[in-house]
Amino acid sequence: MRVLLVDDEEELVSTLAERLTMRGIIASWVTGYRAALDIVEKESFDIALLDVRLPEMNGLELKRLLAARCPDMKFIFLTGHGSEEDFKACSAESGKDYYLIKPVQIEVLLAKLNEISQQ
Amino acid sequence: MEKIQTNPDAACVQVFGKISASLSHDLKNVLAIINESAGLLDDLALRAAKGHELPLDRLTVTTGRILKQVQRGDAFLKNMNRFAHTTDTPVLQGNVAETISLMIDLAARQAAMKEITLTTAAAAEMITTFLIYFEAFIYLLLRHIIETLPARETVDISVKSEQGMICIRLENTRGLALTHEKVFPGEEEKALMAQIKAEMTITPGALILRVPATLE
Repeated sequence: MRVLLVDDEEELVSTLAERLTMRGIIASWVTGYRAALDIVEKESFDIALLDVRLPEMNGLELKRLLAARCPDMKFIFLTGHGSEEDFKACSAESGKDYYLIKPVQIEVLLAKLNEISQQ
Repeated sequence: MEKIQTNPDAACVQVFGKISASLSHDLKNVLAIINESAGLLDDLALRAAKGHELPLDRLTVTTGRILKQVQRGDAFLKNMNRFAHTTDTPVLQGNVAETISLMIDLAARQAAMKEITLTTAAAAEMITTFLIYFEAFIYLLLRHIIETLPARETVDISVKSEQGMICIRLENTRGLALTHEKVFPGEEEKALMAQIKAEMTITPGALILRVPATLE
């Protein structure tokens, strides 16, 4: 399974990628939308884990751009915000089961990654 | 949803709400980094128990990361606590530049989202006013400027005294408009400005706020 992690908190996203790699997942990370759009031109991913609140472009907009470039890619949203508005918008895009609130336990994330990869 | 009736106290409640939402987001990120870092230490310990070498450099980096995030979280809470205590007494004296600096810190997340830099220099000017209204107005003004400016712009803020008034000048070095006149000041901002007797002048690329140094 190849996973792209996008979050502007570099220390979070790099550590999460390291922990996923230890569990046999090929995980790459970037901290902004431009880098996310660049990396999908060079590498392929099965799933993208997107922070909802990114600088310059929110995770929902980025999801649409990535989906247009990578039609088979699946998406999970990760947020620290947890507002009702974000929940509704992200649930409409990926389903309420794929909207995770920070901090997330690695076992929960792994279960979601496995679940969505089998859809 | 029905809008809360506009008066200065309702405007302050809205500012408290905005700041609390932003701060809770920042603290969630702090907790998430601590969570992942602690998880990584646990992963490394489990691997060591199975005979893998314990990478000391990873331990040092990860524990350093946790300590850094604790300090980051502490700074967020200190700012929130300082702002919250402004309500202790209706009229308070405060250093103007330090007060603006606090509001810049509290709006830092929104500024970071657009890579906007807000700077203010230290200044000795003191103000005696309804400090909570003054802070709430400055916060709403900064949020509006952040929304108005394009990404990666800079706003310099300076403070000086002028015949019993505190003069606060906000300026974009490229001369871009800082506010949308049609929406700012809105009802909330007007209510706050009336309480602190503030006057605002808008020129191309700059906004000048004049507030009495001592409220009569």
